[in-house]
Amino acid sequence: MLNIRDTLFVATAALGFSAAQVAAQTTFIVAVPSDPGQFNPGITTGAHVHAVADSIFNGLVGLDSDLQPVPDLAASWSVSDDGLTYTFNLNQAAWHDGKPFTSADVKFTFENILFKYHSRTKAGLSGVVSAIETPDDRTVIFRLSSPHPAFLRRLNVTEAPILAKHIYENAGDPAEAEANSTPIGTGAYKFVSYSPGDRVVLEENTNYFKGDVTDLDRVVFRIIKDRETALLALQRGEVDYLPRMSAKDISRVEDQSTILTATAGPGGGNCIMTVSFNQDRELTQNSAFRQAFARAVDRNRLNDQVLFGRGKVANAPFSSAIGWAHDASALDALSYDSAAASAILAEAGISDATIDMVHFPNFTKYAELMAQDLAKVGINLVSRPLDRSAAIDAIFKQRDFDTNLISYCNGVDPEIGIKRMYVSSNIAPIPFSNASAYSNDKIDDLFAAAGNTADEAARAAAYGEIQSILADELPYFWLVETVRITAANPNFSGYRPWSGQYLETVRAN
Amino acid sequence: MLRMTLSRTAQAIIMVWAVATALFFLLNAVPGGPVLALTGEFADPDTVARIEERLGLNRPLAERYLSFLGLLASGNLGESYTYAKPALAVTLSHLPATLVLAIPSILMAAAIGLPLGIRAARPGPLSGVIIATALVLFAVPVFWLGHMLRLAPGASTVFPVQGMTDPRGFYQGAAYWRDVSYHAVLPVLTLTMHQMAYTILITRRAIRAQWVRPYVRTGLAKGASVSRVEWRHALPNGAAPIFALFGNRIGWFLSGAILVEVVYAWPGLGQLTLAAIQNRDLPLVISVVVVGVLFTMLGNLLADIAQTASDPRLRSGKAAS
Repeated sequence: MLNIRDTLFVATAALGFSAAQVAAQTTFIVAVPSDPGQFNPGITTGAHVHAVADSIFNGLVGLDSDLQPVPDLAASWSVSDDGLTYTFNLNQAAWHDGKPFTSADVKFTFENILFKYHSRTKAGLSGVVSAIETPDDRTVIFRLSSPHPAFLRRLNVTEAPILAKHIYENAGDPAEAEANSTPIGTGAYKFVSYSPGDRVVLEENTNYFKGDVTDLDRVVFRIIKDRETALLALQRGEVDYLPRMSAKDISRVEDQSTILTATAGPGGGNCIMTVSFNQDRELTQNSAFRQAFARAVDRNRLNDQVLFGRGKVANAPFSSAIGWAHDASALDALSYDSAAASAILAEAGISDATIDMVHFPNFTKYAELMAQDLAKVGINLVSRPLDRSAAIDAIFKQRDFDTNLISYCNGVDPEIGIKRMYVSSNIAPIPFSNASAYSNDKIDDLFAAAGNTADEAARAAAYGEIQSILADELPYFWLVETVRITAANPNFSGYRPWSGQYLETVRAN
Repeated sequence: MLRMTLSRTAQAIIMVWAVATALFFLLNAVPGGPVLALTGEFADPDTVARIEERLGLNRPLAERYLSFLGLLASGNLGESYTYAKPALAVTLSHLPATLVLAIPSILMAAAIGLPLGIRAARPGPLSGVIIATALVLFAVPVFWLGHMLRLAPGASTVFPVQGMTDPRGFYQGAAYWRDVSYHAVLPVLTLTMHQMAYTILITRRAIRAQWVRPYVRTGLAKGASVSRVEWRHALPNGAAPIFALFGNRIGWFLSGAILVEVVYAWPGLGQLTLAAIQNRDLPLVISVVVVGVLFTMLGNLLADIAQTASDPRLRSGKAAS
């Protein structure tokens, strides 16, 4: 029995398919859960596309592990005192087909692709950028109509990937362009091949403008839908990198993998598991009921039992990762206290309440634990797990829910991922908009003011006021801040799991 | 023969139309749409409207159904939303990988299941063991069987737990097929075990039914061995349900093997179907199902032909049902 493997190895080696054949090349294998379908990161915010395509492209700026802007395609930049003019000096980069990268590519990408098709950048920047000027090939100037403090942080490869003008200029509708299946980028890796449902193969860009930054010769993204299979493949060494895994599985792989945690990643970050209370339903409209709900839920238990202690109980409506805007004591008054919750319900005359909670199937454990807590105070929480498309339809189109549970990703600035949840203008059948349908003029005004000034202290003050109003009114309830957990091959280092370009600087140990 | 060809063709056309129509309306009634899978989060109403217009989703259902029928009549099942390529072409490109699993499984299941099923028709303790094993294997969900198989101490250290080829390999020609075979061992074994269990149970029942017939006793009385009576006499007479079983199961292998393919991350129709449903990629779902229907019908046809060939009573054409 002992020798089966050896025998097989010898036999296979004799047949000529031993690993030695390709040993000179380092091939790195990433397990991704869904098929990208296409590779144009400028026309979608979908994580399934960005998880692969971000390695092929660059943004103007990157983000470091503290999510601060660092050079990417832009070597340096300067900002005018009024915060209205950003001047970028570009690196001397080349497209994968050999053509030079110039400022014209930047202007073209923003005006013709990102402002039209990239929903987050379109919503966030198209109204703010009044002009893009290209005085020469290596300089690009953005003129803003009003200060936009989040501007630099919205220019990374996930938010604003730069595409080649010469590829897309005459390609017709960029959403249908042939070039989307054979991407030409500037990134550290070049596209080689794609077998739908199976794998995407990239190879090192030996002409990368940042020089020889990686030891990987090839990166293969294997599409593995089943999480258990991906874990086993990692344990067996068939896969080197699992970008997202569940905290409960860490113990199975930690002795053979490097476990990385990050609050951000391709497709969004700084996420908080958030309960929305439907403001159109009688019971959830009642602020006493919402208060009681909040006091009845033991959020520490959620962190312990669902996230295995890797997350953090939310202590404010805003993510603690956006430190300057975060009010760490905002939710102090809402500590777990069943007795207090019961008292609030009794005073409000609410008894034997039954409410439903719509959520994605992978959030079932949260719903179960909350249902146990709420049962203690006489609230019957009925969990309604629906698949992703159906849940979004029920919540944002049909508005058929009492409460729902969503992972709201705050992004790297409140302007990006937080404002959308609270402003009344965003009560619309749009996925991940204002799910509660919360409307408060004061909140609308404060968000408008905070988004309209470059003065960080003034912004922080406005956001602080917003958080105390939200904690008071509780249109939502913020449970736990989650982290992305990544398992990676320990024979390499230099992973950047918080970024779309997570393999840009991987080195063998 | 001509009549049979015509009637089968007409049957196939009606079947495809009925299945495609039912699916079209069902999938349109399912909540959620394909737009989110294309844009990602944060899509504004303009973007959603533009995509719906591009995909023709903003038109009334009746109108869409008519143009869908037009496409269907021309043998075109529309363009996949996810891949922006003809749905039928995407489906067919995933077919070979599924056949790599299905064909060896069907053949091995027949080669092992048939003799075991015949043996299990005899009385005795060995039959009991065979039947019990088959019942267990048949009752176990096939995805679970697949998962348990790769956790088995021997299997998990020797064979790959997922995929169809080694991404580090980049093999060509014969080396490529050796790599595929190596990766196929566990999924093929899973499917074989499931199908074998089915084969044993059906074969046993078919042969049991023959055992009580007088000709079997006559055969034994004239001195034929038990196995000759089983194979030469009982099997051809009792073959109808066995042929039907294999005919029907071809469709199962294409669609039902989904679970095994997902467990083993095998890039065939299974993973494609799951992704198509999750992404609400309507043309792709319909295309996969239509291909499955056609294969099932082809399987039934082959089963009928094989049965006719093996049974002289059917061959003359006089004993048509």
